[in-house]
Amino acid sequence: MVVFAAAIASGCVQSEKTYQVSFNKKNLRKRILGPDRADQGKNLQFAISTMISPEETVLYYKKIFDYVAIKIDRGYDLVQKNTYSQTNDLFREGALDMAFISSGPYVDLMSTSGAELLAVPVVDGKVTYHSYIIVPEGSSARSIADLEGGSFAFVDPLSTTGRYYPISQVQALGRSPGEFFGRYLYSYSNTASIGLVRDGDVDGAAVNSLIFDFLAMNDPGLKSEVRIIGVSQPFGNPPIVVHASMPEELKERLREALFSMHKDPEGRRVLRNLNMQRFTGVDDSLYDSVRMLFESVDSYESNPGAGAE
Amino acid sequence: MRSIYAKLMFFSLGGTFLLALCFTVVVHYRHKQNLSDELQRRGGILSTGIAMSSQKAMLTSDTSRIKFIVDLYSRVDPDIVYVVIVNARGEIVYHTFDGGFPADLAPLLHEHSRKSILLETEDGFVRNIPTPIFGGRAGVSHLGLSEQRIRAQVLRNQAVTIYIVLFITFAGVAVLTLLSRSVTSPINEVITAAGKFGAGDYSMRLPVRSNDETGQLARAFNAMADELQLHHREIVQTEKLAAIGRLSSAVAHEINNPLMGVQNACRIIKSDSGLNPKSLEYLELIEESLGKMERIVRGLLLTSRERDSGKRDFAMEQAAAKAVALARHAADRKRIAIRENMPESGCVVHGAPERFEQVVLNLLLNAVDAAPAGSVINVSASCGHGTEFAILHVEDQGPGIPAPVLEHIFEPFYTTKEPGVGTGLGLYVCYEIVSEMQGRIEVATGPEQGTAFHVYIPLARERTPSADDGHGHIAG
Repeated sequence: MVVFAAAIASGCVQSEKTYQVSFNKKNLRKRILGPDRADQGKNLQFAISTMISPEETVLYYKKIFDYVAIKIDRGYDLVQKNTYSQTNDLFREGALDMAFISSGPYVDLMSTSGAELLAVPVVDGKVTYHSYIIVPEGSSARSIADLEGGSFAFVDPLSTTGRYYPISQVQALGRSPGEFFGRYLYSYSNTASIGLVRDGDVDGAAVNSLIFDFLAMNDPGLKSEVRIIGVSQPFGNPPIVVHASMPEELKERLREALFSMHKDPEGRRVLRNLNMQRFTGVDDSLYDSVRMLFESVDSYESNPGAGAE
Repeated sequence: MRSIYAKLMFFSLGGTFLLALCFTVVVHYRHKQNLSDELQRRGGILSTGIAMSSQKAMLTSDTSRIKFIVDLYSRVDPDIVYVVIVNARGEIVYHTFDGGFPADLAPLLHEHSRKSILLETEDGFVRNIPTPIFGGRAGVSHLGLSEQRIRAQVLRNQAVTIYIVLFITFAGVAVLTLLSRSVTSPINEVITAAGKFGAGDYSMRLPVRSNDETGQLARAFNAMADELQLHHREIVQTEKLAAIGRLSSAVAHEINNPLMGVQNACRIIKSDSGLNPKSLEYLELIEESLGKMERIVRGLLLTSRERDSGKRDFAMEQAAAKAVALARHAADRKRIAIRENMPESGCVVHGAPERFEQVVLNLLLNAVDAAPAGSVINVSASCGHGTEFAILHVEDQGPGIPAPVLEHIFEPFYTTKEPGVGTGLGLYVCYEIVSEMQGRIEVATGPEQGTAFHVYIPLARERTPSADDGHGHIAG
């Protein structure tokens, strides 16, 4: 009778539906099942380099590609990589059709050709942005010179605002980053660098002003926890580039979709959410200031002390 | 179910068993539920961990990173059967099955990407716990968690619970058996004792072992047995005396007339002067014996013949005083003093005063016979307020009456005196007369303590007139 009762009790719990599955009948030989290549042929491959985290990219920047894809009536796959150079490598290999990349990677990509400048966002009426040197609110630092011996976060080895600019400032003090900072690291995204400063995990960082202002707009608390102690000269805004081998007709349709985005209510809404007014075409010379910065920093690194003041 | 023992066992055991049963069912159900919840929770944590760790890798299509994360998690918990990572387009990005992906599983994972389901496989029950990666934008992580271990644990605990229940039940049986035996065995003793008592063993008594209810029961039984034994003895004695009385009267009646005739004849022969001296001597011997027979017959007739004649209200103490006067002569001869203590006011009783005198006289003469020379016999009467009886006390300082004798003192022809000295009718006559007056006689005696007779006669005002011929009581 006890056993009977126990059987009733187990019956109560086992009332859940079960599904018959055989683990022995297998029909696929590969362990890693990648995306279907045939399907990839139809879709365009759009990349966004990780100026912000991959998650935030999906939430914000992806909206631009969604809009454009609908306008040109083509499917696309969003491609994200961990570093700027990984994205650039894919681009060089011809695996990407279009990419929204930062100014540093643009300069790097153009140096080996294969890319073509398509459009640049206009933010606050300008097509340029800056590097912000930021420290935690409680820091006593007034300039990057005060961060000597402290810890510092760079964004990416190819980042204009996140690496080249602060290094140029350190070099101006006659030092290399390795000598100047007690410790430095790469966060691989502007939001990660801002987070490190905000949480006090590093003493300072250099970040993209567009990203910082955008985040500050959505999170008013940010400016009370993070202080800007340096602003760089202007650099050309991160551009959208297409692969040089892309058919002219498609390039034209993409350009048209981007340039007319602000005239369309849906496009305007997407732009406004990203704190952008519109997309415009610019000359490659807009990025000369970036090139000069790269040249100066790279030459100092190959010949330390030569450019010291 | 005739015995209390059986009832006690049935209901207590039934109760114990039902309680134990409820306990088992509840504990088992709760335990199983807890383990199931715990598995679900653990699976949720692991699946969420995989989903969150692989979020960035999924967004950046970093398959090697996904493999690293999944393989790492797979080793964390031995219950993990598989991990499957599916991208936002529903394509399987990575899985941990060796040698291919189970064909049946793919459609199930596709269909149940939000809610956990239970799979029945060759390896037992496996719970599939899906967790969306980055809100589903980056895909879904499916975790397969084996339920075999917790099912085995449930079975083990079920066995333990059943053992506990069986133990409780058996322990309950043992305790209840002891308990109910402690209750029913005294009851059974009472039943046995009552049976023996009923069959005539009036000496049957129960041992009193405790002060609880069973002890009280034994005590109550013993008190009842004492009372019954006493009453039984009295009834037997009363019946015996009544039967002997009837027989004696009948015999006395039958003998009386021929005796008269023989005495007359004897007298006539004696008046003949021509008898030689030897014959005359024999005649006198015959007359003497006849006189003795006549005294016996008269004594016996006294108890019946005049029963209903000469009854009236009279003062008991006066009748007693007359008897004392008659006895004084015999007492003086033995230098025994009779001390009288009679009340001032009359103790009026109903009956034949002459017969009551006989009672007092018989008691006094017995006392004189028993008492040593120079001793004192006290005679007193009382009928104080609040009593329904006039009481006469006759107390001597003799050796007392031994217990074996005491039982028979009121029987006719029973005597301890020398043959020829007493008829054995004295106390029998007392008993008959007192009974006729609806009274009773009590005897208090002990070795070297003397003997006291207490005669209780209902006061005239208290008497029940209709119960004239009822028999009284004797108390030893």
